[in-house]
Amino acid sequence: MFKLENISYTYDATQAPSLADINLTITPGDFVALMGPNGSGKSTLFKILTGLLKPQTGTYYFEEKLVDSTDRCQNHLHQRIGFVFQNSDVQLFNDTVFEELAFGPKQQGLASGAVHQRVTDVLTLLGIEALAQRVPYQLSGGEQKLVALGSVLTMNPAVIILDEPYNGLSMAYQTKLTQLLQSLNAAGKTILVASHNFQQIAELANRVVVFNAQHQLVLDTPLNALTAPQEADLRQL
Amino acid sequence: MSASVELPNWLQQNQPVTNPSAKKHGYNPLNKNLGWLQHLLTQLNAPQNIHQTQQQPWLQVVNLAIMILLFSLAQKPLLIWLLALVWLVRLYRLSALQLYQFAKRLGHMSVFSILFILPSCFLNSWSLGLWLLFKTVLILGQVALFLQEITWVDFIKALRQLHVPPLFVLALSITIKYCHILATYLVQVLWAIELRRATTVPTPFYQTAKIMGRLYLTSKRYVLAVYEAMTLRGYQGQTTKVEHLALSKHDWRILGLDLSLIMMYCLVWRY
Repeated sequence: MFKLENISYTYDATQAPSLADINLTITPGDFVALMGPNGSGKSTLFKILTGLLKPQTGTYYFEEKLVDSTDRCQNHLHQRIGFVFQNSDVQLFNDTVFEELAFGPKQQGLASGAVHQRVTDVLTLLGIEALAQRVPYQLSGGEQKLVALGSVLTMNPAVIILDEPYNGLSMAYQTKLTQLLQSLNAAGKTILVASHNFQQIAELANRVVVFNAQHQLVLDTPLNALTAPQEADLRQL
Repeated sequence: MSASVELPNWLQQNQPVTNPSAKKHGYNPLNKNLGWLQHLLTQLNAPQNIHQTQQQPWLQVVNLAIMILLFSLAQKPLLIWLLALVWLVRLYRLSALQLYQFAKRLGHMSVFSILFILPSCFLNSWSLGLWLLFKTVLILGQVALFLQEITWVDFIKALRQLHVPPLFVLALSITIKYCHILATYLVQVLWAIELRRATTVPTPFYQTAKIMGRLYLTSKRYVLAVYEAMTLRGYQGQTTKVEHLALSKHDWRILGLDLSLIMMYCLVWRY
């Protein structure tokens, strides 16, 4: 599904690259956990995968097609990949939660009945029906995170990318999110999650990718193949 | 933990890609602004190739003020020639890249100033207009050189050293920092829209107004949060940060040069 070859990205030419020579392949249905210290390049990688940033070197293939900056390619990426930002606050720009969730499917050109159905389903799925007419701006951080996830789900993407999804969520919501992600993965969605919490990752992912502070990919292995020292290192992250 | 959430049918299906060959709507102000804003942020984030001088920041500001004043007041070609000579000597110290950046900045500023000066050429004589344009370019050259030699941090320090009201300096300092934060915020909002704007349906124009509203509310929230954080750390409307005027040997040389130029101006003006 994703194939990255020698990808590097630098925000500031005078500093070390934010991603250094990354090679990574992700197959459909994978549940990949990205781990690494703060600033190791996880968010940058997500932005490259979603087409928001263009890598300075290397090649990126999505569904066996070379990703470039043409409208056709970007359209394809945006229809197939949903991205929940680390700071969900910026992702919400509509007047009500209902409109927020309806924005994506409307943009996809779905009929109003189908849009309404999707929004209602997702509100129920996330247990946020009571927020439907609330202003997203006024919600708490955890609620905003759920609405951001809902706004992605209504577009029914094949890949869901979540950057630190557990930040700001109560324990009850964390459990709910874990179950939801497992269900989505079981339904065939490819899921990529960046997190610092190995405990949560261990419950979810079937594969772990680790970056070091030098922005290099240092480990890419199935979760059940982790050695005891590797697991101890990840728990310390 | 086992999966126990029942997904709706449509979410369990792999949605076909709709109309992948279609281009996004021809004119989309959000998309255009996203590109422009990203370019601006890249410029802001780009490493500034500042020419390091040994001068104190306050002296750089004073030096700029003196040079602008002299260039503005000078009427005799001899004096302007002398002033331009001093300016060229200072330009000589810049590296090739810094000179390129300086020339680019001066070019932009000059083109902008021509728009204001051209009416004067049409209404009065061309010779007067060209003289005015010549002097304006020289003054803008001083400003461009100043910008090439000072960072925002040093500029704020200079204002403190010159005892500009602390509240003004504080407000300016916070504004500069938060302008950048708000621009980054705006880019992320536009990214979020771009990611969900998947097909041919154009983003409605009123979406721009909504984003502007959100930006206002966010900036207000930032301002309140900053003020609260400052209050909690003991801020009571006064800043205790004081920068003292300091003069190095190099500063005395620059100050001496400035004084010589002023004396020269007085002499040339008299005779």
